[in-house]
Amino acid sequence: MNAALCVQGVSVAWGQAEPVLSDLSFSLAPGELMGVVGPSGCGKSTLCQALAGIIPRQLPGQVNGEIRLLGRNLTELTLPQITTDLGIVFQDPQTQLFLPRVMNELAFGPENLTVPREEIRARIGDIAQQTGCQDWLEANPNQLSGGQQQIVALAAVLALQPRVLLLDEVTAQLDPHSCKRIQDIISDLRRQGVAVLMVEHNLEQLTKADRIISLRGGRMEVAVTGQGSLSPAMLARVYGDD
Amino acid sequence: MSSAFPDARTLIIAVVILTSLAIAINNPLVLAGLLAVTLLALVAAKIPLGDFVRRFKRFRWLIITLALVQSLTNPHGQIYWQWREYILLSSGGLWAALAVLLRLAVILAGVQFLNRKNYQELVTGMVQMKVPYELAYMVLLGIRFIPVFMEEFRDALTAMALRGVDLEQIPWRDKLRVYSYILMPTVAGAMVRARRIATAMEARAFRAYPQRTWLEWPRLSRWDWALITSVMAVGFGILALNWRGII
Amino acid sequence: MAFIQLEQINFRWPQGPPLLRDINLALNRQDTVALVGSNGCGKTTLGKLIMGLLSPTQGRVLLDGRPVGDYPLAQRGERVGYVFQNPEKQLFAASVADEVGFALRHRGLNSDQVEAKVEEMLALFELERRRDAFPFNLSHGEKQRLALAAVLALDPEFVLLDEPSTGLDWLRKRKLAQALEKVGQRGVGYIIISHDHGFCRQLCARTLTLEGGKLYE
Repeated sequence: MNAALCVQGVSVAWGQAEPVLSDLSFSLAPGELMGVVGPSGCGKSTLCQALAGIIPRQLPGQVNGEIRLLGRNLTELTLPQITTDLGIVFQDPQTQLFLPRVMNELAFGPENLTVPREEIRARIGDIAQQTGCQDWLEANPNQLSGGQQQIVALAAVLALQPRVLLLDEVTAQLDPHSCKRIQDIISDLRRQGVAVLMVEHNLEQLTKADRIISLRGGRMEVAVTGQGSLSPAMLARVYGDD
Repeated sequence: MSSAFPDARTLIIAVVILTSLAIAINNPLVLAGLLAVTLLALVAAKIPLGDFVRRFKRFRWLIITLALVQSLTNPHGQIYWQWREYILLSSGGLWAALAVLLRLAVILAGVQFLNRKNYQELVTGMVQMKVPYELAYMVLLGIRFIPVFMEEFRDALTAMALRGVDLEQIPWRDKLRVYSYILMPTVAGAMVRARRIATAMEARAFRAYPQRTWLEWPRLSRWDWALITSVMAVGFGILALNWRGII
Repeated sequence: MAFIQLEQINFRWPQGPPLLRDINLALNRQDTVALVGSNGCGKTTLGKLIMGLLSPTQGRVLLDGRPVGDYPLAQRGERVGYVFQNPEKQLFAASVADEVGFALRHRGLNSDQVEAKVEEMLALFELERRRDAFPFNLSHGEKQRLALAAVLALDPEFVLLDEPSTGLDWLRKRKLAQALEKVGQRGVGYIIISHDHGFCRQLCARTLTLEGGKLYE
């Protein structure tokens, strides 16, 4: 089976500074869930930004090495091509939701890709059903709870029907009930063959991960393979000291 | 396709004409009439006048300052107060000050019509009027986040007061320096937020293509056409009369 | 009489449904309390009511026997330290050391006294190595500790922390927990508003749950 996402010898640096990430190599198969852990400032978000092409297209960094998205080199893809296949959800829903109704948020991505109106409506229906936000379609996202907002943010990205999903600490601000809902949606997506990379501080959210990689000092090691959890010794090595 | 009267374009055109009239006309009597008609129209459209009153109150010091400046810079007619060679209060100055006051009131009242629509509808309306969609989103997102930044500024003021720096107690000469401290979290917060929103928008393919589709693309009803035509006719009529010096 | 007393607190946002109902709460100076509940249940709102940053629709909040609104904001902050959910909202200075000493200088302390207090706080929160750093360049966990240090420098009698463990990794949560233990050991009580039950459980003797607008212990 071809990898959904393949990273080969990737380094990321900001300007002339030392690389934040060095020589990372891994691949993500369709339906796989890979966790990424590491101390604050180790480059987990930078990794997500590089994989989504945000660096260097929007943020002024350098990405060396090769990133292949569904077999194609990321640097050769246009923005529409990337966003059709790869979605990214961030930690703070307040900076991802900016439209007056949930329905507008779900429609925003497909509208940008010139998806026909009827198909947009169909996608909204499907995604709302899948994520459980069908009752909120007319609601103002600002009036939803933090957990509901994050589900809407996820649904808005899923409306683009990505085959690879990057989740950058999406459960950071969520209570256990909302975390469970996100986990259920992820399980559903994996059954549909979506590859998921999940950056997390909350290790309880990674119990179903097929693999967990840790980043430290810009380098990567595989912390856990198979569905396990980080041992105390491993935790100490992963997080080290400030 | 949906068509909910009035369409966003109708409201935008009405507000543009009203604002243009308010700027072009200097006669306070005509401006007062314009204000009265605008307020009546707001009531008829079931838009609460409370928002207009609140907004007017918020800008009252700015409006009063502008009116005073007008009064001082337009000294003519009957003199009520003079100091040496400077005419501080005159009938002409008061008339000009009243015009400024009413002008701003008309503009603030007129803008209230836009409250009938949410900003997605206003963006769609602007795009239907051939405004590039990137510009329409930029303008409206900027407006949408003004209250957010105001709240961040207030939070920063609160945080500072909670650290024992009470702006009401410290001397005037120190106030400016303290306000400059507040700029740090407010500006930094605003910049971080703006960058994150821009990233999130582009991650959902914003500006991927020169054109985009729209989930909702309302059409103008005959009532919209009637209202647009009426407003334009009356507006240009008043402008013509004003131009010819009749009103 | 408790240090902080909430009597029959009811709260709703304008034109919104009731958010908090008939809440009665007594907090003593050395209490260590966790306030937990789901997203959107009103925990932060209750925290702001305690600080007098919001007024209840009904009921009253007393601080040391007097209505909290009777105290100027500055006095409230000196008696009850408030650490915002987003620590960046309360970072004003150009360096970590300046941040800790910020309010002390405005209190009229001389530079030696300010310096002594700053050193004490930096050591307590393990920020000595970062004393000259620009606060906005710190990691999230360091900003949290800095905000707490700056608040504690005023020697409050009680501290309110809103979601302090959000976004912190395993180690930084542990460091924050250690810092809070030291706060408790100094005889300063605290209330931690959080949805992170695990973090709160180890640090708080009391747990209050906000659900359906009501408070349960």
